Amino acid sequence: MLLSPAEIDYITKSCDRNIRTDGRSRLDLRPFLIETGLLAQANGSCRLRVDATDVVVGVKAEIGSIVPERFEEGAEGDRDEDDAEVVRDVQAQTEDGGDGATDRGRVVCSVDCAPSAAPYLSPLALQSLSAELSQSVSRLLNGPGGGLDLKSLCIIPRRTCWVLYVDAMILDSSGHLLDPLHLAVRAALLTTQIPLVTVQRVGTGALDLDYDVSADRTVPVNGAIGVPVTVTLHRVGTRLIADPTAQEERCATARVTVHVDGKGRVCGVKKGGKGGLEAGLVKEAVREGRRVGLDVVKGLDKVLEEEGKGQRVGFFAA
Amino acid sequence: MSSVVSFALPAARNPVKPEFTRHDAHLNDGESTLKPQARASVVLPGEEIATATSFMRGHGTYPLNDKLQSSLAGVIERVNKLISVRPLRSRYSGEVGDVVVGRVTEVGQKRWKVDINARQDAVLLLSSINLPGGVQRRKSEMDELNMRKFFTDGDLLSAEVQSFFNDGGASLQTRNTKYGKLRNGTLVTVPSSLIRRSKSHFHTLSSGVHLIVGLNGNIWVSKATPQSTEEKDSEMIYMGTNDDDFSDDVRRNIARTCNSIIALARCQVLINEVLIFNMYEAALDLDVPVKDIVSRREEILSHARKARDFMHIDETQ
Repeated sequence: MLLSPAEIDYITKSCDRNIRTDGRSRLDLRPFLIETGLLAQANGSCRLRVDATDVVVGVKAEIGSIVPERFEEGAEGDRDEDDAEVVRDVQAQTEDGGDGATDRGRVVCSVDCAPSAAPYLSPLALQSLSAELSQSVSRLLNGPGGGLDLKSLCIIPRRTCWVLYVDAMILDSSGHLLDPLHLAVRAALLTTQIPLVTVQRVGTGALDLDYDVSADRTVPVNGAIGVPVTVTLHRVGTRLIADPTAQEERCATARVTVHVDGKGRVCGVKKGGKGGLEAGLVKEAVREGRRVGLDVVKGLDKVLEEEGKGQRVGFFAA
Repeated sequence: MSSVVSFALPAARNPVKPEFTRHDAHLNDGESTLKPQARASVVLPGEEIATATSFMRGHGTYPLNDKLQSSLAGVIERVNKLISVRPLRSRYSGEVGDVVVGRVTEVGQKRWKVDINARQDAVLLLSSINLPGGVQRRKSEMDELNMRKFFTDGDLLSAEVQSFFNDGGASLQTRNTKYGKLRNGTLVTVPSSLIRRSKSHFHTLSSGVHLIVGLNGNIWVSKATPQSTEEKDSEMIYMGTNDDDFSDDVRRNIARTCNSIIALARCQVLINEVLIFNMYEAALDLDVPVKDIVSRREEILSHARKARDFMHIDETQ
């Protein structure tokens, strides 16, 4: 996206003066418009809109086997360096944990950006953006700070588990995508219902177990309430701003992504962008990110509770 | 410092009521028949409009099995026997004399490519710009080498559509002191179909905000500068840096104006300077914080329409 030097200067100084071009102050977020449960075929779904940004997330639960495709999340999308790294990360983690990955379910994530979401990006750049976003969701949910109780997704140790497929589609964008994407994933997981599975013993051996999937009874995903939200603070000029517009994002030199869960615990911090950050700014970013993140969690939980009472309006409403 | 996070649920929208066009009374004359559902002014792609034999088909229509169908989501327009569908959203298609706001995307041989939201980039020839200081002479090779000193990639400029090439691309000119490089402000983009032609597209509002309403849907909102200094500084017309003496009030007024324009566009209202100003004053009157103008647009718009004494306006045109 092109911006003229005068525009960049105006936006930067506006952020410094705490009167952003749309009248917000530095840490104000734009209003969210959210709806869950709109995809009939998915176990959980969410559509989130912020200004023009439009994200649809579907969660599909399927029964899979544990052993042969142990680290399938590494096989998602392009198998490049980073993905290999994820596999190693997970391996290292689980080996350290002692009990291994043999008794836990997993989450497979894919994010797809529609070409209309960022018309100024080339198809190749769009692909790498999609891959980057997929990876961010995958790392968040499969990592130690992801909140989900993956062990509860295990049905028969070493053999069968639930696999949660989290698929997101980004239909339009106006600004930073990571925060709304992670928020939509959290809302979709919170409203996900998976069929109840009962395990019976059929023999004398340790693994002589059989399972039965209930046709009508469902349970929520354990630990979905602990999935963190993401607040990314962008450095524009000398100050940090939250929820940038596309123009402000273009003026940002660096960014700090902070993952915060509902208890106010910081689950992860990542620095992005080409520019540098002073130590003080990083501290400020984590502090403010945590505060804003807590507000976001509270707001989301409240609106989902409200939504449960009301009537659903469907995909094409408003 | 407190941040307030706002979450909302989508509201059910009322079904669109068919509105009848002025021409409806004449549509059933003679043997020609217009499909009843197509008599509503808004049609969808693939919707039957009329029997093909009795009408001439214009833009946005195609014949299928002796029927005329719409190829667009849009509004039916009819001139005698000619039926066309004007799209609800489309790229800007200019007319000679239009004021546009565009962004330079490429510097070429004796010309700049300018993005004006049209189907193809417009061209600004080196011979169609003013030299700094208003010097009148032929452009030399020296000027050609200095082209990036006038406009470079990413620069925003206001210009006038001078003519069209055979392929439909527009040729622009900035041979007037009111056109040229833009600074001291910010750009708002709205659908070009919402911009209404008016006598002047340059306005200074009493709040110290200057507007350039480009007919291509780009609106430049900036700090108003006194006319006298503007003329004095004709040497500075290609300056790309902002003034230093920006007060917070001016910044806030610019933001309020931008949000008023976006709010009007979201309401699908035709935009002109009077309506922008009324929306702005209504937002002030209702004491709406600048950042909430877009989300509370319906309320502000109805207030703006009620209280027309902000500025004399004639919306019926």
